[in-house]
Amino acid sequence: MLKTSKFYQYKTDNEIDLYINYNSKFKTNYIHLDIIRPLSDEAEVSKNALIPYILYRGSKEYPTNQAISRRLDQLYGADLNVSVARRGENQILRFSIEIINDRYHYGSENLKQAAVDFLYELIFNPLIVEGEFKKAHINKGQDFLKEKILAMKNDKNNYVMERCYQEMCRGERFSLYPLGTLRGLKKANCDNLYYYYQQVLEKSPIEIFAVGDIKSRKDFFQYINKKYVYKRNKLLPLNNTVIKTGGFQFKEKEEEDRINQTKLSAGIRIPVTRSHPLYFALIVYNGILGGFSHSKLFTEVREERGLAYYINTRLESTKGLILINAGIDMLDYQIVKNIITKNLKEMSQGQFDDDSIRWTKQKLINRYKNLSDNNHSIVDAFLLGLINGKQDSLNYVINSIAEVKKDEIIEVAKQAKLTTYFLLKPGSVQHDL
Amino acid sequence: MIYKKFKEIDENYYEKSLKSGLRVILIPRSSYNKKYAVLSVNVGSVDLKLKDNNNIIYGFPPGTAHFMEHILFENREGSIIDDFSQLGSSVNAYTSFNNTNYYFNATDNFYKSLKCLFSFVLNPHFDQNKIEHEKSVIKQEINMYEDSPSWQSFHQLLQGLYYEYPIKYNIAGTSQSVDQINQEILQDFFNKYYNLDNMNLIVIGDINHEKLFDWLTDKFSDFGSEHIDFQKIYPEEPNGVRIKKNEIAMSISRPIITLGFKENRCFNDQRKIVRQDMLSNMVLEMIFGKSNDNYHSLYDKNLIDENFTFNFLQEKNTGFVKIYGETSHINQSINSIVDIINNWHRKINKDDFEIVKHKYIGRYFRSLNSLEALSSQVIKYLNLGQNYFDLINIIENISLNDIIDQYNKLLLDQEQVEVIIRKISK
Repeated sequence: MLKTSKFYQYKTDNEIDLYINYNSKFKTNYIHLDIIRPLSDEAEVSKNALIPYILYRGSKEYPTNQAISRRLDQLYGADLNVSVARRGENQILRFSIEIINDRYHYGSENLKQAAVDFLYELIFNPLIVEGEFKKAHINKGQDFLKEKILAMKNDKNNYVMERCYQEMCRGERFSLYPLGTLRGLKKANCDNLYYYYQQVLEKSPIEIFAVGDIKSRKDFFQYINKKYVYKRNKLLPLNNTVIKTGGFQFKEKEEEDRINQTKLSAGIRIPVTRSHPLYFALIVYNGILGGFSHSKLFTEVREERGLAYYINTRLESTKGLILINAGIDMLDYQIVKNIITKNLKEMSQGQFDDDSIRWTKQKLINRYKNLSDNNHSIVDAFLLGLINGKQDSLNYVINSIAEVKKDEIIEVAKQAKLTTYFLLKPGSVQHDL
Repeated sequence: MIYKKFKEIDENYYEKSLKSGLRVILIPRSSYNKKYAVLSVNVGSVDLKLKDNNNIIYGFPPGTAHFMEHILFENREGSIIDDFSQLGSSVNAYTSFNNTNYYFNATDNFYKSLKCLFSFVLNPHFDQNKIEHEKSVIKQEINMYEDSPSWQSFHQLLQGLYYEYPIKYNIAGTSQSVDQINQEILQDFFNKYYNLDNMNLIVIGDINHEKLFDWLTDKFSDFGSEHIDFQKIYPEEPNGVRIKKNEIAMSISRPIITLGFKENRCFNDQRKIVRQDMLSNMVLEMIFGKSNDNYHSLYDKNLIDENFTFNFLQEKNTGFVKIYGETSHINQSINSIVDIINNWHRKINKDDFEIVKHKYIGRYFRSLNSLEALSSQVIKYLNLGQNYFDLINIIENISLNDIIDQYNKLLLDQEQVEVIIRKISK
């Protein structure tokens, strides 16, 4: 029997969406707030990215980062996360707090409410000096973000994936790095940032998710409804993604770095996204190709040929992209490329057996069932559904995957277009950002 | 069978040692879909030497335990991974300093998956071709780690801290040591270490304890109590640190500093080791936690950034502090951190202590959510002869004096290792 619990949906008087997942199996309560923005242009993306890191420096009630940290520690080391993410061509400013369930502490404070209050304070009650965020906090936020942008190249695998996205989506908004750019960051505080932020709060969809021991959903909603008051109007759409369906040019790009291992990403376009009738076939396609250790690419590149330790695929289902990632020896580059081309062709010609379909489906179903055992994953998956206007229940997803036919997988495979190779190889020259 | 109920944390715990020597631990989680099982073999990267009951000494090249972990997935025609895929389960493994862990997660087909797990871990076949094939995969794995700055900083730190203790070797070994591995070495290694009385099975999920124990008793009914006598041998580790200052260069955005302190005191009473682990982590939190001044004075002077971390890692025969930071002001940062450590005893604050205790209680509860994270904690504490579910009592009973005592022994005016990763310039 599937143990799962659904999200109950509420809307506050100020059009903030609240989704409650009552779930007593976790030892903690998890509250997560997303502000969703279109991934628009370099300047705006940089400004948006900066805001969470300014807010994190201090609020009216907790005017320093130290005061924020002290409050969190008092709340039994509540875990605060502030970040910026990209889903399709949307930039998401994320704030979350995870706090122990009230039944595990001896104090008198209602921790769940304290967490709700804290998030409100951080996001809606910033520290303002003469009509602008505190100058020192803007500077610290900028320093932090600058280092974070530069640090992209420290994690080579991640760097290669991001560069591959940039090359394959050049000219499209998806190519914007969700943390913005150094150039954009420099200009970010030319105008009044606080004024800008007020507009962000006024016009952006704000989605709150609460997963945990929330027995009285109505009371919890009322509490949020009274607390999260902000005048809002003319909200922007939840999804701002444009799917490109043609006019692709094959590109091969490489950079050198002082590294031991060559890292490659191959970019594939596939115009099938969540609301497409072939979406579940796409999930199975990705699994057969490279999502698992029984997948075609892993089997041939690692198990049969011993050419890599890792080779896998990553699906971006809002924009319709798949990346194939691998770490190899530079001498084997051509061989690995040939194997990739061959496998993509085999997929579109139906050269994959019934076992691989069956196993992939079972593993996917296993994965979806496991998802409901992780409070963070529940929210992540649900948000993707929201953005794509398709909130499928877990049961529906599982049934739909089970029903995918081989023909449908082939149909997906025929639409897959390998457009880009990006390669980072050992050498002396450094790459620039 | 041992059954314990931990009321304060809503957990149940079953443990049974089977006649075959296998120890089984079950943590039931009726509300989870996932069923997780890990077969943990008491052998890790540090176990490079042993003496058997005929006083014969066996030595193994660094990386043997990790190689074994890889090669067991290749031990017959057809793929082990496919056996699990057929059942919809996911199988994987990892090697740590002290253990080799083989695990799967399943939703349906738990017992079939469990059968597959034992089948591939206990029935090796060391084929020379497959050994050679796996060498090339592992060399790519080593290459991948060597390109990771955080991995390098950790590796270099261990190089600096230890003269002899094999924790200083890369878990996967080196290209050279991996090349030395052959059929005979693997067979010897397997014969000594891969016996049921040298393994723990940890199961977490919606599983009935009686059914599990019956199934396992039945499965291993033909196994006697197969006890292989041997003694693990570790080299004597001198006090003090081996390399005080260790510098390398990598292609990174800004320099990385890592500081280390070594704790070599060993206790016969394992409860004391667990306490030492907790005390050391709490004292670091009191010194460098984001709640207090020191962290912010470093941060405001750009001597550290958000990536600053500090922790104490307790292993079976040793433990060490690792402080990690990224900064453009290398020397100033190191000096300030060391200064803060050596002057901390002048500004100890009782309120800070209570807050840190709160924080650790919260962190403990959070660690119980994920089955994977929980299982690795359970294994860590098993190695130390303790039950992870008792930890909450240990935390609650810690006093400020215990913390100060640990500070005096571990940190105050102690020798440290500095690792600096500089930035390669164009």
